[in-house]
Amino acid sequence: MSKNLYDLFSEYRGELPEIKEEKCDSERIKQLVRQQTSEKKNIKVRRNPKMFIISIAAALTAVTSITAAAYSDNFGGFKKVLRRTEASPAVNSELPLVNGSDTDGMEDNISVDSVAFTGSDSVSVKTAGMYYDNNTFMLSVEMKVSDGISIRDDAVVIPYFTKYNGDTAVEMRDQSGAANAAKLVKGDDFQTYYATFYITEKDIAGSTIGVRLENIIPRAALTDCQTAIVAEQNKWHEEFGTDSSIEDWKAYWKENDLDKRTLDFMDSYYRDCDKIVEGSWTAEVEVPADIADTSTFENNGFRVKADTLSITVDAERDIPEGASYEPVITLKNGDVIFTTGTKETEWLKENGVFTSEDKHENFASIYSNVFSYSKPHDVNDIAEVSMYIFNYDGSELTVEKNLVYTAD
Amino acid sequence: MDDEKLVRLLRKKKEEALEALVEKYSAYVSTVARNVAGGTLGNSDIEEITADVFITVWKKSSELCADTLRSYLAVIARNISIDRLRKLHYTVPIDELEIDDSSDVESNTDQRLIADEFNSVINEMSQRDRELLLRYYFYYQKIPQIAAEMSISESSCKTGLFRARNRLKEKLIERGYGYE
Repeated sequence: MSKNLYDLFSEYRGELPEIKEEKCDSERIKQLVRQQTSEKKNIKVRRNPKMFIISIAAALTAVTSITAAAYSDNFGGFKKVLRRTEASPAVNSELPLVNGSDTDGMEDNISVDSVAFTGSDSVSVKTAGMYYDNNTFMLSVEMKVSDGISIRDDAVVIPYFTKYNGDTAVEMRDQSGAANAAKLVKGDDFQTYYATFYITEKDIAGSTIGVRLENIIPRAALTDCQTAIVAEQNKWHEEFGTDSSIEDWKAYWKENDLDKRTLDFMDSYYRDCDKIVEGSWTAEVEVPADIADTSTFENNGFRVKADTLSITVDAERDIPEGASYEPVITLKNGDVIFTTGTKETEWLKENGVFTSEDKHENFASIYSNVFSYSKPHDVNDIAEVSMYIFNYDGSELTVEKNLVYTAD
Repeated sequence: MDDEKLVRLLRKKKEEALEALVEKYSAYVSTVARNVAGGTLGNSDIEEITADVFITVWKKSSELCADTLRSYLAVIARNISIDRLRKLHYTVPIDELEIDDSSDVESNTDQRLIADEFNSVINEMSQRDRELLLRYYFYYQKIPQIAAEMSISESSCKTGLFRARNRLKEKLIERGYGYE
């Protein structure tokens, strides 16, 4: 094999010369770091377990050029769009269709029919492809901007999804505005852009998904909005009285529906923030009732999916409101899969559930209730799956182990 | 906060240590990322890469060592930046000279041996040669930048780099690595 010198120098591990450092916005970097660490830490059951929304978009970064032919309305074209709208290897490996898994026989789970959105003339929007299974909905859209409109590299679009089943409508969103937005990825001309949204939602088969895309805004607005939400919630807490107990504050939160107030605040923030393109675009897409179940294993609230390399935790399990949880998977070869860096797993380590010396593999990424492996695992390799539930009532921490699965 | 204390607290997953790390090293990390990107990425991308470096360090804090913290950050910044560029299909610079070894590409052991051998060769070089090569091939600095930071003329820099590369080539050949 041959290696060029740049590759060889990536192996260098010795002392490095001092270099002249350029100024940077360290506050902005701190914000980004905080955002990511808090996303990992706050893995909690949602207050409304029906509302799940996961987007690959928060980390979407790619701005690249794709040939026009790649966007033809076909399966291959959809896959190409997906590959280019992914953000990082971890997120990419989580996506169906793009993780190298065998896609034969998955045609039933894919639609490449083009559905046009209606809305503001400044941008014409249509679907570039959809993937769906029992609990996943992934949508790529093509956005063509009118002449004279320029889209910056940091542009994101905010989506809103509603699931309609008969007379029931469920708004699928959470309070993390950043997690809902998708970065626009440039096509091969200056007018065409693509974005992909990824949602998990139970009982998606046979439903109609209403999609509304609202305004194209700079990515920085997402972080700014999160900061503003925290400040606003702190203000509410101060108004209520920070000397009160956590239980009282939680009760007040519930009684006054501060979840909704937070969402209203977020919507208002995005409505008022600086926009790159102002507009709203809507469409409805149908999810067939007889879609194939791609789960490889399903038991007691855990769903292991080889195609998406992920394990899904069913948030409707009996988990107390406000509690956090951590799944721990033990493989038959003794390896343990868990998340490092969370207070929960640090507690598990300190209390001897596993040790730093155990051979372990991290979950590559965690998005709400989906934990993605860094590599595929056969269900037959799994010895045990446990769910540790951490409940802190303000004075005492209780930790409960639920054995979800054990191999025969 | 000194590196020793930083590492101690990072290993204990203290968030204030992560903030202090960002405060202390964000300019360094973003400079490395900016050099590697060579002007192809905007500020927001560089900031994202820089943040990703600190998140990676946070996740791998058990592996940290105070003596090598700065180098460790640079290696991660370099790798994440290169990955990002490749993902965006930008061309990552390659050198016209390549070494050729007959090892099995699949073998991690062989890869490790090459890495160890290479580090040993670099450490045998003179300080000036090493600095020139590291600035050019590790940090992706351009000739004018290297010249300015080492207080030498651009022509001296070019000549020095040419000679350093030849000396590196000789040492690699001595150790059984072909050079194309």
